[in-house]
Amino acid sequence: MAETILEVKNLKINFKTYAGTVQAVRGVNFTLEKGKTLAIVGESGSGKSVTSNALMKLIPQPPGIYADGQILFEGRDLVKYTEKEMTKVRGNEIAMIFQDPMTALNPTMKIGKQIMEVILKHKKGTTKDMAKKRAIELLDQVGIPYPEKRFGQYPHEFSGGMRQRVVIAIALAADPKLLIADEPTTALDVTIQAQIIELMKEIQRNSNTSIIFITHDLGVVANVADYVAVMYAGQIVEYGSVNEVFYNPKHPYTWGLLGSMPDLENKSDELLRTIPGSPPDLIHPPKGDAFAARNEFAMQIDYEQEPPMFEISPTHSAKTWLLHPDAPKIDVPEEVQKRIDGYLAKGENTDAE
Amino acid sequence: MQNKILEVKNLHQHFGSIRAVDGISFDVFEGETLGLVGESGSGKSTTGRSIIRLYDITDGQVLYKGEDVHNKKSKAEQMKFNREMQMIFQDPYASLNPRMTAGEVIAEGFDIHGLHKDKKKRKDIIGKLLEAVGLNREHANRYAHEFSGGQRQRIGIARALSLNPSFIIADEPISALDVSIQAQVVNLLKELQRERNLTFLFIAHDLSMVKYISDRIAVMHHGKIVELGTADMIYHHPVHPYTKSLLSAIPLPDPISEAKRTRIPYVPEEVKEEQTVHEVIQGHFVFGSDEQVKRWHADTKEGHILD
Repeated sequence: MAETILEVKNLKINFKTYAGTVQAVRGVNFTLEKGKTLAIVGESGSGKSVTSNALMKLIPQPPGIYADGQILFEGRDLVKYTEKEMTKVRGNEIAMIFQDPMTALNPTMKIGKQIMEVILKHKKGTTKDMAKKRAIELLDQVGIPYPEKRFGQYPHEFSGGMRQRVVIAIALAADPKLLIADEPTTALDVTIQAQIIELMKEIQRNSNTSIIFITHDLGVVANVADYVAVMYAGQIVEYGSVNEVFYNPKHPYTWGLLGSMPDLENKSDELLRTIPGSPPDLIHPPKGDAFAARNEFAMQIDYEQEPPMFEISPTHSAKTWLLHPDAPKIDVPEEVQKRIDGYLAKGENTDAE
Repeated sequence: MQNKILEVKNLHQHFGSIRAVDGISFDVFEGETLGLVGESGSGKSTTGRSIIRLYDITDGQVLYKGEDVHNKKSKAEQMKFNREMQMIFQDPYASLNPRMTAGEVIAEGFDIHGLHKDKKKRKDIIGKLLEAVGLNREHANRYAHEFSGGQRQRIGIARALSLNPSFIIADEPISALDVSIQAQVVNLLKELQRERNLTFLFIAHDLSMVKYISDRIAVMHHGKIVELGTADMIYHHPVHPYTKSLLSAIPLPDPISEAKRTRIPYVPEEVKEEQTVHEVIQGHFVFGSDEQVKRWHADTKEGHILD
């Protein structure tokens, strides 16, 4: 059993608004092993970004409230940490990469100085010369050509992909154990996205960093993740290894997500599978299963009682009454299953070659 | 024989020294969807905006149903063109006036073109348009902030349909939406196309969605169309190295193939000879020098085809 670096237990985050209390995160549980990548997928409003910000204690209080739960980072409960204690964790032990590299960087400060700032703050006893040397090394490590020259340039002199590399260099400056990346490639072109993902994987291989990768792009998840958590309405509705979730999905919401993405084999005369309706209001979360109203397989109990996480394998579980032994047997929708079969067949063929 | 509804001939759109669109030519056939893909800065949005005359073009010609778009003779002719060609924008938050109700947004074109002056009839038409895009009549009195992103994009589509156009330019219409909502909007566009015999120019950077929605695809890079062909030709038999590189970067929801994936970097070649458009097989066009296209095409035939 690999060493656990992070364990989140029953995390609940609320926001007080004029309209009422929004229950943005409603009891999230997961663990992350050292050196592994957990991808959190979900749509806007699912609570994925609130969850990742909560891990860094970046939820403004008020209006935010840590209503319940624990965030155990190497066994220490960050929920109980004071702001002063958190500043030693943030950027040092846990670092974050944001979606938009332009807003994450200070436009009036040379990028070299922005990297040095982190090193000087978190590595006690470092001289300015040492920090500069290290900053140039980091720029080189994240694949920025001519690091000495680039050290003295401002963010606007970099392209989007290069800026995201600078943001990653800053995140790596203090050798964090855990890297939280919130949609780090969403603002980038596909070819640049591919490069940034390669870079993050390389960093992980070299320094055994644990990564939490927040995204809405299932293709990216399939590429980066060891484990996947699918979030809906503030809860994890399916959790498993990347192969389990993609090749043996159990939650109807996961089916919907997989089906709504066209793959390159889709015939253009078929309509895409969609998830009807829109996510529920989290000021008044629905009784029972939050997904029931959009679930074509919903049963009476879905409107009455919230389903527990049913275990499918030691690493795979899903929050749907369809997995109850008394539930009618519902198969994965045909078009989703057909696609999965296609992928698996292709995988076997290339193995045989 | 398919009917050409739009002909773009040697279109140039320069902004100062920047050649955003640098001499492109293509046709769009009636009733089809032509996908225009490329990365940021490739000139794909500028192309769309130049065609619908949001910009005056630097050089070249755009013919819509045989008539020059940029040389309209009278106001009446310009108005007729405006009714025929409409646009759907990327950002459903920025493209709807927050001080107008959905009904007012949709009906704005009626005032400009002096249509449907009878109040009751107008209300009925607005209601029908809202229903056509999957909303309901009661939504006409609500303001933009009362709608979700997907619903706003539906209002943008209803507005584009309000004047009964034949040609719609959709500029990244789903990029700002969630995955499950993207599928709803794409299905809607397909259904509307079938019912109303619409022609689409679909501009996007999401290659899997473009493949799904398009009959033919043009790939843009640095202001030029580097490759154009049917969706099948582009995805299964790409010839230009830039197209191959772009395709190799699409992440698919398939962990096994993702683990084995090798991305092909694009390295532009130095060329001395003139680069022109070559038709490698009927309907499949590639931009390059004679020697380049011959070599690339041979590579593709040898089976370096992306599965």
